[in-house]
This record gives sequence, C-alpha cells and structure tokens, in this order.
Amino acid sequence: MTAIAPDRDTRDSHLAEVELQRHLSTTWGSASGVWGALSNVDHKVIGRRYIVTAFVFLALGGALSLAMRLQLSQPEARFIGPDRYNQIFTMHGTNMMFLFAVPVMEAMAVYLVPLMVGTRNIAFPRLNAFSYWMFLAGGILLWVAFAIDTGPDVGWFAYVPLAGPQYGTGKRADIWAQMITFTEISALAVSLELVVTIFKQRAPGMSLNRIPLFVWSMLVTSFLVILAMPAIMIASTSLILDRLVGTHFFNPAEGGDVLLWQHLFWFFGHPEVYIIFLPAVGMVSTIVATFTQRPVFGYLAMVMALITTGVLAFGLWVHHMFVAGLPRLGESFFTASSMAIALPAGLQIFCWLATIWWGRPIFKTPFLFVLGFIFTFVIGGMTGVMVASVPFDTQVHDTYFVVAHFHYVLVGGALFPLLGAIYYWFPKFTGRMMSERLGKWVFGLIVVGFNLTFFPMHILGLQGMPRRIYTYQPEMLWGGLNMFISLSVLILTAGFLLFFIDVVRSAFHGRPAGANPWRASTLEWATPSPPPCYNFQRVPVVSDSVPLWSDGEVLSVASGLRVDRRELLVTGVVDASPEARESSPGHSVWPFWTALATTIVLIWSIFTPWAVVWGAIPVAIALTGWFWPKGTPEDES
Amino acid sequence: MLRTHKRPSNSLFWSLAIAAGVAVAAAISARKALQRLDSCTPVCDSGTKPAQTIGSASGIRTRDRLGMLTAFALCLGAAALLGYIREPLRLRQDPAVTSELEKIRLMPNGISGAPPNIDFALGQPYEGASYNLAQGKRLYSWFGCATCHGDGQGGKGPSFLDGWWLYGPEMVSIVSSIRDGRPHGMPPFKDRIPIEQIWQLAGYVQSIGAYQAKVAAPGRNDAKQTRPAENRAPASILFEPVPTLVHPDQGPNP
Amino acid sequence: MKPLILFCLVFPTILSGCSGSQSALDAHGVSAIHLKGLMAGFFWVCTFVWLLAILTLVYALMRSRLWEAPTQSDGRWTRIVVAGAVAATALVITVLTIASFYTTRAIDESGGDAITIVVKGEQWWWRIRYPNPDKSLEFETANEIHIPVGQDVRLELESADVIHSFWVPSLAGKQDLVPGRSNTLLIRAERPGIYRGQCAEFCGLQHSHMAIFIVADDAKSYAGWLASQQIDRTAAMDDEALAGQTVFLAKPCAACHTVRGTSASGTTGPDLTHVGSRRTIGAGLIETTRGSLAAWIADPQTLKPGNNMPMVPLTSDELRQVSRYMDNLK
Repeated sequence: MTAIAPDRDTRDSHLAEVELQRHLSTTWGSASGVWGALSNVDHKVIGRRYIVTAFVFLALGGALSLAMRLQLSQPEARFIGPDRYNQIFTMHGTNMMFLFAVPVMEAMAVYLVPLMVGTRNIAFPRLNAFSYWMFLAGGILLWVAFAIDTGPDVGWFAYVPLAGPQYGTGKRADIWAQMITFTEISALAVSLELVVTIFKQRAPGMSLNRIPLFVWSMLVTSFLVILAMPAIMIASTSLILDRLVGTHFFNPAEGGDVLLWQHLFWFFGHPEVYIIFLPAVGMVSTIVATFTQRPVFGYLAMVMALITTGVLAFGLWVHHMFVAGLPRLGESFFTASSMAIALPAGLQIFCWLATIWWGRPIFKTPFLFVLGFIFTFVIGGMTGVMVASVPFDTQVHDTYFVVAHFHYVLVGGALFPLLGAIYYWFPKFTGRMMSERLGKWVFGLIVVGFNLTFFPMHILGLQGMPRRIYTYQPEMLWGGLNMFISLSVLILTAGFLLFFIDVVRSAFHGRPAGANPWRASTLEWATPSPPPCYNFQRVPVVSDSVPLWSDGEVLSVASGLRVDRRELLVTGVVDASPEARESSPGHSVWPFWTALATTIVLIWSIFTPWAVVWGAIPVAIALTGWFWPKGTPEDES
Repeated sequence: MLRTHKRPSNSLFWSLAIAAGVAVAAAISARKALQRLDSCTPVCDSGTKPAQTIGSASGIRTRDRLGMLTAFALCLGAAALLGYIREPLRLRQDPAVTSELEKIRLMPNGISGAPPNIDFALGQPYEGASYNLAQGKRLYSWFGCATCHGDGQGGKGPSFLDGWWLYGPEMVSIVSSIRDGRPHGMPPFKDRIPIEQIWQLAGYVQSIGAYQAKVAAPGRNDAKQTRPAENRAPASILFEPVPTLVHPDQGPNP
Repeated sequence: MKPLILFCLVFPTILSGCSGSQSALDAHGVSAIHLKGLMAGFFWVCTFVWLLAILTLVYALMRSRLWEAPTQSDGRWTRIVVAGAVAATALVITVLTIASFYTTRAIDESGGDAITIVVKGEQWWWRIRYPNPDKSLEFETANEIHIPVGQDVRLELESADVIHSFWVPSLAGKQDLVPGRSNTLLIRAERPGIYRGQCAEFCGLQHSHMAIFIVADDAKSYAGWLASQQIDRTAAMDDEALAGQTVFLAKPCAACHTVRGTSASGTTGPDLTHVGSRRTIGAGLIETTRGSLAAWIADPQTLKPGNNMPMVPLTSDELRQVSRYMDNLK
C-alpha cells in the first residue's frame, strides 16, 4: 500500500454548498442516452419507471374490464365469444394483481423509502435495476401472448385440472405460470432491498420508534413478500413441470392432489392481498398526518397493527377453499382467523379517526382520497366479515358478491390511497403540483363511479349470478342491474381518464412546487423537488419521528462521507447509530444483460426443459460480468 | 372458390421478436420524454427554480409528446397486427369446409396420398393446433379406441408407439383408417364420427406416434401413468426394432 | 337508492317462478332458509358498524371548526375509546363466528334417512344417476334432478374432468365437484317448485351455460316421475318418430348417447331415454320443444360454442324426423 495523501479534501465535511453539490452531482449522476437508461441504478429513476409502467398496465387492464362490461351489459350478448372472454377476464385479474397492484406499491417504496430514511440510494441498486427489467419482460410476455390469442384463459388463479396438462390446451397456462416467475423474482428482489435499506441505512437518530409509518408498512410488506412469494413460485413451477415434463404433482390417480394447487396458490394468494393493502395503509397514515397537521394517533398501536396483520395474513388462506370439501371443523378455524384480522384493521381505522378528530383537516385532494378510502374500504371490510363465515360463503363464493367484496377492498383499500399518494407525492417526483380543481373532479368521478359500478354486484351475487360467465340467460332477470353497472363503469372510466390527463398536463404545466408544499413532517420533504441525484447534500440526523415539524427550518446533518465516490452511511438496526461508511455501486449495464439472459431462459423453458440447462450459460456469463470488479472507486471499499 | 392464404410457420417466434423490437423502440422514445423530468444535469440544481430544469423550448416538448404518441400507436398497431396474424380459435368448421374435408385422395393401395386443398387453406390445423389435438385426445377415449389400441401401446390392434406405421404416418392415411376401416379388425367409423372429429382424432393419433415432440401436443393424462406424455415424443422413446405383430397378413396388400 | 334496491330484490323473485328461482334471497330449502337468516343478521350488524364508523368520521371532520389543541387527558380518554372500540369489535366478531358455527352445524344435520343421488360434473353438463339396490331400477338422466318435498336428499358429487361446483341457491349453499374426491351436499326442499342452479366454479368454455334444475314434487308426483324414468319407453311412436329412431341409430348420435331399449348405448353424452320430458336441453340453455331440439341438433356449436357435441350433417328430412323422435322420448 502506497502512502496516500489524507482524504480530507474528498469528504463532505469541509466543502461549501456549491462545491459540494458539484462533487456530488458528478459522483452520483448518471449518463444520458440509451446507454444511460439501460445502466441507471438511481432508485428514483427506476422507481419512476416502475410507477409509469405499472400505470400503463392499469390502463390496459381497465380497457379489458370495459370489454367485459360491454359483453355483460345484455343477456346472451354476442360481442365477445367464450374463448376470448375467458382470456380477457384471466388477463384482467392477472394483470391487475401481478403487473399493477404489487409492482406499483413496490415502486412507490423504491422511490420513497430511501428518501424517507435519509439515505442516498436503495440497498443493492443493481438488483433494483434488474428487478425492473424482469417486471417489464414479464408484462410484455403476458400482453404479447394475449395479443396473439395465446393469452391464459384459466382464470388468474389457474385451478388444476383446468390449467393442468390434460385440460389446459396449448401454451396458455405455461405463459401464465412463467409470467408469475418474472414478477415474483422482481418483487422478491425489491423486498430484499427494502428490508436491508430500512434496517441498515437509516439516518442516524432514526431509531425503530421514529421510523415513518409508511416505511414500517413497507417493511412488513417486504417480509410478507419474502415469505409468501416462494409458495406461488413452487406452485407455478410444479404446474409447468406437470404440463411440460409429465410430473404428477396435481394428478390424483398417481398420488397427487387437485387441492394441493389450491393450498399452495392461496397460501400465497391471501398474503398477496395484504402485500397490496399494507403499503396503502402506510400511505393513508402519511396523508392523514400531513393533512391534519399532527402525527398519527397511537404510533405503537399502528405499528403493532401492521405486524399483527402481516402475521395473521398467513393464517387465512383456506377461506378461499370453503366449498372445496374440506372438513368443516378445520374450515371453521379459518372463519375465526379471517374475522380476527378485522381487529388490527379496525384498530388502524380507529387511530386514523382519532387523528382526524384531534387534528385540523385540510381538504385537499390527497385527503379526499383518504376519506374515500375510509368510506369504501370499511364497506369492503364488512363484506369481508360476511364472506369469512363458512355458511355465508357457501352461498356467495364464486358469485358477483365476492367480486364486489374484493373490488371494494382492493380499489377502495389500495387504489384510492394510491391515487391520493400520487397527488401527494407528485410535487416531490416532478417539482410541480397537480391541479387541485381537476383533482376534486377525479376524486368525485372515481368514488361515485366506483360505488355505482360495484355496489349492485352485491345484489347480483345474492340473486344467483356466478362469476366468470361470459353471458347469462334473459330469463334470469339480471339484465337490468348489469346494464346499470355497465353504464356506471363509464363514470369510473371518465374519472381515470381525467386522472391521466391531469398527470400528463401537470408534469409539463403544473404550478412549480417547493421542497415542502404540504408542510409535511417526513425527511423526503427536506430535499428539493424533484430530489437531486444524491438525495441529500449531507446525511440528515433526526431526533424524533416528525423531524421537519420539530426541527423547523434547520435540520441537523452528519458529515464525513466521501464525495469522490458513491458512499452512504450504514447504521444499526435498532437505534440507527452510525456504524460504517459503505460504498454504493455505480451505474452498470449488467443488470440489463442478466435480465435479458434470464428472460431467454424462462421463455425458452415454456417450450422445452433443456432450456434450463443451455440457458444457464448466458445467465452465468451475465452474472460474472455483473460481479467482476471494474476498478471503479467504489470497488476499493 | 375458397380463399387460400399461407400462414407463416414459426409465427409465434416472429411475432414475439417483432413485439420485443417495438417495445424497445417504445421504451426508448418514452425515456426521452421522461429524461426531461430528470434533474441530473452535470450541475444539479438546488431546486430554487425547478421550472428551469424542466421547462424548455416548446419545440422539444411537442417533439417528445409526438414521440410518445408514436411509440404508443406503434405498440397498438403491432398488437393488432399480431392478433390478425394469429387466427382465433375455430370451434367448428362451416359445413362447406367439412364436406371438403371428406375429399381425401388416396393411392390405389390405400396407403398415403394427398390431403384435400382445404387442409392447406386452413393452415393444417389438425396437425398443429393444440385445441384440435386436445379434442382428438378426448375422442380417443370417448370412442373406445383404447379397447384395441390401449393407451397407444397396442393390444388387439397395432401399437402407435413402437415407431412403426403400418399405413404411413400422414394425416390422409390415418383419416382413411379411421373413416373407412382397415382389414383384419379396424372398423370404419364413417357413420359413427363426423369427419371433422375424425381429422381431430387423426391428428392426435399422429402425435402419439410422433418422433419429434410437437409444441402443440397435449400433456399427460390426469390418470395412471402408463406411457410418456404425448409432448415427450413417445415414439422416439419407445421405438421397437420390429412392429408389434397383429396379424400375419397385416399390411398394404392383405 | 334504497327503494331501488328493495325493488330489485323483490321483483325478480316474483317473476322467476316460470324459469325456476335462482336466488339466495328466495329461500325454499332448509339450508337456504338457515343461511338467509344468517345473512340477514350479518347484514344488519355490519351496516350498523359501518354507519357508526362513517358518522364518527363525519363528526370528526365537522368538528374541526371548534379546533383546540388536545390535552393530556384528551389523549388518555381517546386511548380508552379506541381500546373500547377494539374490544367491541372483538365481541362482535366473536358473536358472528359463533353464529356461523351454529349455522354450519344446522345445515349439515340430516333429519332421517336420505335419498342418495349421484351427480357427476362433466364439461359442460350434469350426469345424474339414481342408484338403487335393484340394479334394473337404476337409471341415468342429465341436467335435471327430481326430489320429493320435505325429505333429505344426499347428493354425492364427483367430477369426470375439471372442478365444477353444484349450486342451487334457493335450496342450499354450494359444494365443489373435485376430481379425485367425492364430496357430499345435503338438501331438503320445504316447498314444491322448480329451483335453478348453475355451475359455480370456472370450468372452461361453457361454464356460463351449465345450469341444473331441481324439481321438488310432492311424494306422489315424485314416485310417478321415478317410475316413468325407470322404464325404457313411455310414449308410443308414430311413423315420423320411428323414422327418426332409424336415423338416430344410423348416424353418429348413437355412438355418444344412450336411449335405453334401443341399441344406442354411448356414454360420452347425456342419456336421452327421456329427454323430451326434461324442461331444458343443453344444460339449461333452451326450453325443450321440438323446434329447439331441431335447432340444437342442427348446430350445437352456434348455440353453445365450444361444447363437446359435434355438428352432424343431416338432411332436412332427417332433422325433422330426429327432432320428432327426440321430442317423443318423454
């Protein structure tokens, strides 16, 4: 080791602001052009991409729902035939659950969590880039398959034996199963990054009891992903093996079991909806706090409710199988546990109500969406208690009652908070405010349209209309309500169109926002809008859970990180005391190549099992390139 | 006169390749637009005037908007084209087509010959479409083929899996065998199975004895495992050096 | 909104008598009546809870005009209220769970001896078998079940291919037909009537058109129906019907369908021995008339695209004769 000059002049402690910004921008900036796009590892850029892509999938899935409502508006309509309709409703469910709901929540976390915990980049930034490309590849696979009439047609849950080798003809179910692999790899990667970021990269002083509630919800969600996603990957892999290679996982004649699929799928499927719901809970907590200008009532209760929900979520899955013929006593246990999860959810609602009670509500669009959330999600929760009961469920399972229930909890419980969150954080993402006037119209149209569309479905279900039917007889007298629903969905569509118009317009013409237009309390508002590539000039130090409210205009910072290479601060898990300076990888195109190689393996393996063997070679090459030391300053660490 | 149109072979592969190319183009155009929201210029603005980093000459804005719109339109167009290339599932043929399907032309010895033109006009669906092969598999069990042919490994009737085809592996031979019967025990099914279903069944039988696995071939049965699944190219796995002898006079000239 | 809802709920139940009622709110079976009571209880409890939450929210929002900074005792008082609300929630869900448990017990209880009927789900119709210790009295039918009023009926549910679900909402909750398992459903009709049900588990292309009818008769009518089903022929055949029978046996029809008393013994498709006496054909698709039979036979794929009955080319004379024959099989 040669004698080196002291590195004092490359640390941020002694630099003036302008020079500090210049150094940091050079170190943390990314290249431009196509190469820059493919090699970017900045969590904000990747998070933004993720959000935009997920919303594109939302729009596509919404178009599918319009097609379904057109077909169902009249009895024995002939707009869409049974084969195409089966593909459409499968695509709608699969797209919304795997390509929109989970990725968009992960995306918001990817963007916001590093800013909220006061660090410069998310943990494992190259893995982050890889996860986006995998997500995009899975989405493209699914939609291109649909475009060429090979879209999956077995329902988003793909029950065997309908999706099995004998009755699932063609490659449709294989494409579904493999798309799952793409999106689950992507979600697992993001969850790992989030757990590490939240545990080890928090700002000094941000002990566990000072973490923002949104970050807590993302932490619990990430653990749910890590524990639940492997179940679906096993299930989808077993399905492909059954179909491609001739294994007998789900073949009763050879010792397999048809219900095994249902257990594996729903063991994932139930936590999946909490993976979608818990981030929304975090968003609601954030918005309620800001728009009542006080911290959420009962921080400890809220955190315990999050953790309890996460744990309980793994004990409910049989409520999707109440009519499959399992022993009644066992099923009744799941009635009890499914109802029990209403307790932490109720606790959270009560705490928010208490916050609003003791706060000063500001009726801006994000807060309006939270009110819409409470109104709608509680209805969904009530119908959830109803379907949790085994006998009740024997009448409403697989009917439009359940369709109404889960749309109430997913749209009301996750989408409304998400829309509110977009209105809330848009100024941070882009530096411009969204239109308050249009926002109120969006809110009104969407909430009214949603309730008019989905409430009558409760009645249809009780009147005997099953799910997943492409048409119904005229003598069933469901035509009137179906026509009403199909017309109401136009109101909902108008609301969404207005939302997209508002987003695009505001991105170019919105009123410029400052660093903290909402006078919020969390750390992401301590940096300019949009945040510079290095997030914070110096690492912030916090002394309580609402740093921007207690510290006022001046925020304490810690200094001592190097500015000539990408460096961030690693702190302890419990009390966030500084432990080490860690280098953060710079941009790299290898995640893209790895994603491409993995995509080739996965798509090829739909057609032959040898793909796993031969396709492993490009993956190995790409991974070698990824990890090969490149002599950058970050490698010296 | 029936319309004839060639279908590209490997349409699935090429359509995926085209879609991937279009998607990359779309992504690049979209990224150019998003780049304007990126604040990472060589000198990062401290945020006092965010309008400057985002707002630029209106010409660039319009161009980017047009770029995004073009990319989106291209994607839609590509998807529509792909949907057109791939013909949707036909659950039954028209009567004019089924009457044409009867017109197989056999050689005088009853083995092989030429399929009717309609088969090519439809793109040979009974050999390559997974729906038809799966229906053929159902018909195989429904019409009791297994009583003589077992699960394909033979019994009173010849095996399809030993790699030997007594009358040749072409569709017309198999269709003729099923429809008209063969000497020494194969009954004619012309009055028992409609012609379109005979073609479906023939396609399935052909896939049982295939030497190379077809992508469209059905998977294993949800039943006791007695032989490899049809998509594992069973004939090449279970090839026998001599055909299972059924009748000493069995063959082209009984 | 409320009158509209009430109207929508009540009106169809009045009109649906002609086609068979298919509504959980129109309960005529013992199970369905228990379930409707439970559902009503749940509905009122949940509506009350929701109203309470929303009213609290509205008051909390409007209260902002009188805003003053909260004090320590306010915080303590709020904690007590929140804890109390959670406790009340726990109480409510405990009551609901116990109510569910008791209802489950009630619907699974059998009063006395039960008639057994075997239902096998196929894509996309129901194969019904009435087992009998005397094998000559056993028979198979399709898509329509007759039961005596006031007696327990045990349905043994099996599947020939994929998962289906047997659901006649006016009589009972649903139960899946799972390949590799045999599930049981207990029903008892309290009133005579026609009850319509539908497959309630997605089973492929024609899941939408897989209806089932349960006809509950008084004991005498039921015995009469049973007797008529057990014999092979009930009506005499005229010349046209006889010609139709010849066509039926010569064409592919006999390869898939059974008509007892003839040489037609195919088991792939539904048993047609008494097809004319069934209310609908095609698993609830259309009412059984000679014309609809002719339409079905002429082109089943247009009426129910993707179903497993192929189109058999017939001349118009043959079609006329076969439809007369089918209609005659009462």
